[in-house]
Amino acid sequence: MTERLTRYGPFLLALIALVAPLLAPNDYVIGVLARICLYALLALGLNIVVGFAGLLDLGFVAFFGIGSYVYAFLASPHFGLHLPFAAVMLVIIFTAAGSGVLIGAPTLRLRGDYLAIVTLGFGEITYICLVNLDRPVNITGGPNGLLSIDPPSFLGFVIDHNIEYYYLFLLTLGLVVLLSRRLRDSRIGWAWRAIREDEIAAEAMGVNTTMAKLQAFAVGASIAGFAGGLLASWQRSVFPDNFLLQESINILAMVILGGLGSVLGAILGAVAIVSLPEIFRDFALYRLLAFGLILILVMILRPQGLLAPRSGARRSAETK
Amino acid sequence: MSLLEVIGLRKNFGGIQAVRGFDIAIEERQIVCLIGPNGSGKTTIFNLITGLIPATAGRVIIDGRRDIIGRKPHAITAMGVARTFQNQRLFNHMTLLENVLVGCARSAKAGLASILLGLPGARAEKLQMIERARSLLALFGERLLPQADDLAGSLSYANRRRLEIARALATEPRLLLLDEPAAGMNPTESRELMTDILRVRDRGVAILLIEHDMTVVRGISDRVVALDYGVKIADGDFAEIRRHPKVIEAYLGRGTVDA
Ligand SMILES: Nc1ncnc2c1ncn2[C@@H]1O[C@H](COP(=O)(O)OP(=O)(O)OP(=O)(O)O)[C@@H](O)[C@H]1O
Ligand SMILES: [Mg+2]
Repeated sequence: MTERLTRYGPFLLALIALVAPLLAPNDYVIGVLARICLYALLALGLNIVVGFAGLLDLGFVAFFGIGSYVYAFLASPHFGLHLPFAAVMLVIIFTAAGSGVLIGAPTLRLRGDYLAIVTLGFGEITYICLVNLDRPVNITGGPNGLLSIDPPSFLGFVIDHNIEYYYLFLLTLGLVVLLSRRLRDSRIGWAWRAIREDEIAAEAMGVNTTMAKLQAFAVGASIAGFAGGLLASWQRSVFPDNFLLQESINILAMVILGGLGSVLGAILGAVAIVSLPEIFRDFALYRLLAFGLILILVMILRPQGLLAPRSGARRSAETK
Repeated sequence: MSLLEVIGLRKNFGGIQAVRGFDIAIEERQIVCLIGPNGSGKTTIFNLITGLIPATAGRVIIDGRRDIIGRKPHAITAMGVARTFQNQRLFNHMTLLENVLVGCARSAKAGLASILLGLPGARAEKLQMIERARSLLALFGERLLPQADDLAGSLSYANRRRLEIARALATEPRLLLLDEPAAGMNPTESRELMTDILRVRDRGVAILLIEHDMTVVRGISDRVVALDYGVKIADGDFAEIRRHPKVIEAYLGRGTVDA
């Protein structure tokens, strides 16, 4: 049963994802679906850092923010720049990867809880910068954020409906799933997981842990940055409050709920955490209560997450 | 010229002098046993040689020219020194094959970009690594290979020890440090381990092993080095060591050398 689930699950999920917006009753629901894809991207990014490499990052939303603001800087009237969408996204990938390395480097020697606290600090610092860097020179627009951001456009075709955004996000998600899996089953992925399991043994087996950790931070950050760029292009505006600590926690909850290190799990986690509050919207006040209860229940019943990472039982057959 | 030369190695933990000026030289393809009572500093010497802890003083030289003191563990592994751990440190939530692959990947060249793009070079390299990892598991006959895709955490005690050896060999060492490989094994398993170790030596690997089981020590060592309170008290073949007055004294009341 579980074997079939892991074999056909991804295809089934892809099929559902492809037809979902066509069956959606209204545009609002399509918007929620788009948001699920965006958060699934974030969850996949964090899954690389926390799930694969075991580096507990509580400030992950910072990279989401950096991506969004870089997009706004390069494609809005704020600085009068209107670079093409593809160019902006390319810049974002490298800026976010760079900031991942910058933030990662000083934390290399830290483990577990200590790493969590320091990354939490970085997340907060990023937020404070976004709020306050409107004086003396207006860079971020302060608490009012940046407005009138350019939508994505490809060769003159401008994206401006939720359903178009949805397919753009879904396409990105598909790509990131592919890349995640390639990384997981590569020498880099083995090194990450070895570090997560036992850093000292990993070092003794020749793993350059400094390099591997920086790679994890960089790859995770560039995925989050990319998602940030997509967010900015979709909202057509960005605000510091898009990047609160609460978001980092939500993303972490998706990864843990799905099963640390599981690619499909991270996506299921995003589906659950974005959609549950929507489903319980009618219950008004009890919405968050019900949401919290469900999370607690899942974690009690399945402490390893909805989908524990595949044991690799068939993985080597795949890689042969 | 020796493969490994340790000169005046010292390690203090606060007030404890765990290693107090230790010297040893190991030649290519030699099997040397390090014996000594509990707490005499054997594991600490391994940790110093592999760079896991910094030495207080001393030199560790490979090939008569490269001093490895102060280098990072992964750099030392790259110079051909690999090890197993007394308390088993496998990657429990990875498969047997993946455990070995971590070691195989040491010499891999594919970069992040070529892996992400799935370039043919990266794929071919990965297939080679998997091939090599399987052949390393196969060193232990049917013990490990049939379980290649199971999680390391599910292995029996003796198999865990075997996997640690396979994983260490994957880094292509010229010197293998084994910390009590026979601990917890029954006599049959110990005997099997001895032939395994001899087979590893025949692949051109020198071995320094810590062992308490004197049957094993007698069975495979070209040389035995005895340690007490962080100092080398004897160095010679098994017969000499067994009769050495200082060795007998070190073990009296703390266990006996019987074989
Ligand atoms: N990290 C450490 N910090 C403080 N003291 C240590 C540390 N590691 C080892 N020691 C001390 O150094 C001494 C030597 O320990 P070591 O583990 O090297 O002994 P050993 O010969 O391997 O013993 P055993 O046969 O029990 O494995 C012991 O007194 C031990 O308590
Ligand atoms: Mg020991």
